[in-house]
Amino acid sequence: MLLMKRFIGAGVSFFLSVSFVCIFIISQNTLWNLFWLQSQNFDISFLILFSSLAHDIKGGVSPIILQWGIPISFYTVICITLLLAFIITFLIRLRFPINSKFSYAIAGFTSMYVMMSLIIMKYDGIVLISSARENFGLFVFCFIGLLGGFFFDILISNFLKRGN
Amino acid sequence: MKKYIKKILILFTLIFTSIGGYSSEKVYQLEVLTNDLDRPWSLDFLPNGDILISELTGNLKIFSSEGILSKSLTGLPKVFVKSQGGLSDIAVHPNFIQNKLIFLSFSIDTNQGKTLQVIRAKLEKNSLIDVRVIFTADAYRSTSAHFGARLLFLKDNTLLITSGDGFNHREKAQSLDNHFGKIIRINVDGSIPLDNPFIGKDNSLPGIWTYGHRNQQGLIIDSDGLVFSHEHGPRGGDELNLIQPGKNYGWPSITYGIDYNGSIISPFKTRDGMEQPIKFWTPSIAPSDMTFYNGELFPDWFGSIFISALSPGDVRRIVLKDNVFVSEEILFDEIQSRIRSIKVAPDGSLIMLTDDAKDKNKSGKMIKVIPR
Repeated sequence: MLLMKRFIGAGVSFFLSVSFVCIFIISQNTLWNLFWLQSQNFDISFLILFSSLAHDIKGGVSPIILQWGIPISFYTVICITLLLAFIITFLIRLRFPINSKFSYAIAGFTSMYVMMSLIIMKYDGIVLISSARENFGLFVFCFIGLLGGFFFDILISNFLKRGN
Repeated sequence: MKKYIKKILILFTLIFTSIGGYSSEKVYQLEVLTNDLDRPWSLDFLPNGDILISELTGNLKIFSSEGILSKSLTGLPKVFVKSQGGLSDIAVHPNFIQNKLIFLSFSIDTNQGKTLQVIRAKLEKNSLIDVRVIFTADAYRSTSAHFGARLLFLKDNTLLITSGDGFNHREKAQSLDNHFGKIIRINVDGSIPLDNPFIGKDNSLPGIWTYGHRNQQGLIIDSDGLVFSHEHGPRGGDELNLIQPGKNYGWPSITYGIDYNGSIISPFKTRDGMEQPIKFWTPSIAPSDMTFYNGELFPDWFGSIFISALSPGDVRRIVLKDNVFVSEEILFDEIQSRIRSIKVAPDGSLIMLTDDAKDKNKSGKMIKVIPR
């Protein structure tokens, strides 16, 4: 029963942290595009801001990559990336008990960077997320992964405490 | 029961009528001239009836009027071949009989990055001599995408060159200090015509003719001297535009497409000072080339614009009236392949290239469209 509770706790923590990362990365991309338009003297109202955010968060479910003939959405890519990162971190921490917040945060940051690098490599230098084309944007992109890892640790720690 | 029999009879009548109608409507037949091409990209016609064919992989071949495909010509420049980069367009000089000049566009890889280059050379038998670089785009990028690379001679014998936005540099299409997302006009020796629209303007490159484009792979001039271009949109928003010097075509400030990740590139579709397309396609058809039909073999098609498309792979016959879209007809989808290029031959037939880039076992074909 305890194992089941822990498993569910880990699943819910993972789902919430992945959702956090997905929504913030998409929002970063939306804001990036809108800031540029504003710099071109376009009038960006709150209505445009919120409708664009809503559109883009919804749009993230559409396929971005075709791998082995299977269309994969951006959210799925992030989900797989963070799942692998957190599993690897969990396994490393079994051997080396590093501070959990720090280790999951670093895992989030690194995994976002690796994910973007692999996508760029696959598409011959093309960066599919426009906000990550500049160094600062890429840093923010990875930093959101870091916050996601940090958030994941807080959530899973709370679940485990409650489970005990 | 009678009701059902009646319905079935009507259904059969409709089916047979439509089949009959379809076969009688087909006014053309397709003839494969060669199926031994390696990612062909473009073609142009020599005055003696031969056809020059460029292959993205860096080859330039001649398909003779006797139906023989040559090996690649010699004397070709070093080409960067990867993804969308490679040997691209060919333009035979309007006075070829006198000067033997041909023009080639292709991608190169330099210390600064990859970009588009145009050369001119004399064609002597099966080799290029006196090769001269006449244009190098100030559009260096790390990607191997969106080079544009289409060439077109205007009636004053100046040369138009399309230069794409490099994918990662779309915002630069709105700045005049670079060649990302531009149509450029030069003289055949590489100098800049003195009547180009941005000559003498601050922070503007003098060769720029129009700006605000994405990846333009179709460029034609009609019998009235009007220039049309089409460009790939992102996800949706492929455009057919009437091109006029000095105009801004809006990318990426206004667009009918969205980004590949599903997000909005711009929520705006119109803006003062930015041109609207004659027609746009959502979902995308991936327009790859275009030709203006002024031949005599297909009188019903006279004055139409033919646009070859990679996705799903067909040709769109577009009818305009006073530069306003009237109708679109989908043709040649029975080929079931990406159509990379389409041109009107001097005899009035249409010549198409299929590239089948995704399937390495398939060869690119050259197909002739003639009356049935």
